[in-house]
Amino acid sequence: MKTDFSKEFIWHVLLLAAVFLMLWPILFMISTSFKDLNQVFESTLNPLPWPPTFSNYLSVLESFPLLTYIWNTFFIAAVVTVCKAATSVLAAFAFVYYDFKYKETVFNGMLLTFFIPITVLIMPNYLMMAKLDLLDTPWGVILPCLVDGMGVFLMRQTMRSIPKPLLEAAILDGAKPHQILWKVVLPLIKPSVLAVSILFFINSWNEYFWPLLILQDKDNYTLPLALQMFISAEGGSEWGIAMAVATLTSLPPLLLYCFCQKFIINTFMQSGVKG
Amino acid sequence: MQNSIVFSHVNKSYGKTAVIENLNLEIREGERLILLGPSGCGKTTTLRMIAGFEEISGGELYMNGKVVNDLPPGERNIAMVFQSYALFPHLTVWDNITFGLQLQKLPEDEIRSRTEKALDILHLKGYEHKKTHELSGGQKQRVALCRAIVKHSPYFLLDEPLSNLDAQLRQKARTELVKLHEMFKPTMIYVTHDQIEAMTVADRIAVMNRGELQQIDTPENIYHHPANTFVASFIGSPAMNIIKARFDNKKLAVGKCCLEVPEAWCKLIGSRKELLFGLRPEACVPKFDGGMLKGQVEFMENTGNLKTASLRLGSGENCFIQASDPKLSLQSVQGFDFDWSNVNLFDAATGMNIGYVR
Repeated sequence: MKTDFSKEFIWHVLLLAAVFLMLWPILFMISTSFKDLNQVFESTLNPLPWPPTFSNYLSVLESFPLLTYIWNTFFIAAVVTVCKAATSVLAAFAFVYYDFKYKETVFNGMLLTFFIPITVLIMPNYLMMAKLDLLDTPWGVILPCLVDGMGVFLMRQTMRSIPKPLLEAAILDGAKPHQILWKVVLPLIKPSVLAVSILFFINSWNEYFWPLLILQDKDNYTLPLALQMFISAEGGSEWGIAMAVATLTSLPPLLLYCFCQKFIINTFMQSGVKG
Repeated sequence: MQNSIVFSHVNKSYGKTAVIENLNLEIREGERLILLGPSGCGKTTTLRMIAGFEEISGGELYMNGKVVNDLPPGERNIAMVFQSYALFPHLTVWDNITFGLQLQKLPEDEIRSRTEKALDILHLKGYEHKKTHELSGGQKQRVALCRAIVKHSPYFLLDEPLSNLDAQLRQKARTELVKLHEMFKPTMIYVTHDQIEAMTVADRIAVMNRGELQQIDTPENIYHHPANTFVASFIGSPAMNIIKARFDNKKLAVGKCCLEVPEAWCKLIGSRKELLFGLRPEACVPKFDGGMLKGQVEFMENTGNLKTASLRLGSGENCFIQASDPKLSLQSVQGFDFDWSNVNLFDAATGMNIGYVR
């Protein structure tokens, strides 16, 4: 018992440290958003600004087209999420329930795409978007993000956990493939689809580099891009306002994750056990 | 014949491994055929070939007189009950049962009347709106049956449908299943490894081993006239005694005993020398002095209604005998008598039954 306790104690200390390291920047961001510029420089590390000021948030709401940026970001994230989820489910369905030549090879090839650094893909993708005349449009951001190897992989793992007799029962009843997908498979894997969708949404919402390359017009900016307008390399950055925007930006994904944590963790547990 | 199923020289192999070899089997319309065998004998594969889930590597499968080798499962008009029941966990009992009917786009009142009737037969009234995880094992099994019978299919396949039930329920379910079949009379193919289930449910039993059909016959014949030593030792518990024997000059040497062989049997044996002597334990009449075959009691088993003793014969082989009278103590048994009409003789080389004296 005693060793158990001390073991657990050490683990908890380590975990606490990890949690602190991860939460500290967020706490710092939130507290800075409630400080005026003087406070930012006088008591930089003080996590509880006193008196807290709401002026940052007020000026964001007054002088900053927040709604436009939220809409831009949301539009891209929503389209990307829906398409990625759809392509992942369809591809996984084919990988699990169809037998075709070179299935394993194709699947392994798809897994290999995990290991290609994003930076390598930037050039060809950019050139393609330029050729398609989609630079500086949301579609230029969306198009290269419609398929995700990780999504296919996770969906495949989930689908493999569906007992085969369920599908055979449906087949004997005369169900066509699309009916099997729609009436049997999807209802059973709904939680997992939801979970990967949330991850896709959060990732797309937070994406910075790719939109930065594609979008030039400020009206098309997404929130992470807009954020950067308040920070300039030469100094004179408005830290308080920047942090207020940052807080507002990170709020939706944070809330989304909090509500759907259970699904997300289950999905990853499943893929680990069955893989 | 209508709604019969015929396997003609059917082979099934996965890569180079043959699972079923040259299967010839005719399943008659409206009969209850049991596919029985140890695990891995190919019985489930055979069933799945009928359903269309397993491709047929060679030969033809006929259903209703037509070759169906390439007919997709959904077009074979088959109802099937799976070992795991395969109920859709996201649907209610009602939706599970009507799943196939709704896909077929049957008229609403037809679906309703069929389902109501099936629910009534299987005592599931009042459970329509429950989800399947709220049901007990027995109820799930009945829902699975219900889903199969509402289809009104001429073919009814069951893959070990009772193996997930406990012993008492299993017996009840068995009788219900037979009643259900009598009601609709589909051609029923039932896979099991449980010989009691096979004996009680079957019109005919097909015994399989290692991908080969060993014998297909009525339960009585399978039990009393096994075609070969495999069937003889697979059916019955304890199994049939099979003892090495040597035939010479109208005498059969079994263990250290020498038996006079009746004239009719001698003709049947002909020129064979090495034989296997088969006798069911209950066909042995215990003797406390002498007996046609002699041996020493090695150990005893008591199952309450039956007492079994294992005798060690002179040649070192064991022979089980069963006392029909449970009060009889077998402790001091010296040997046993038997009637030649209960004897099975097998060719030692091939293991095949040499036939019977009628």
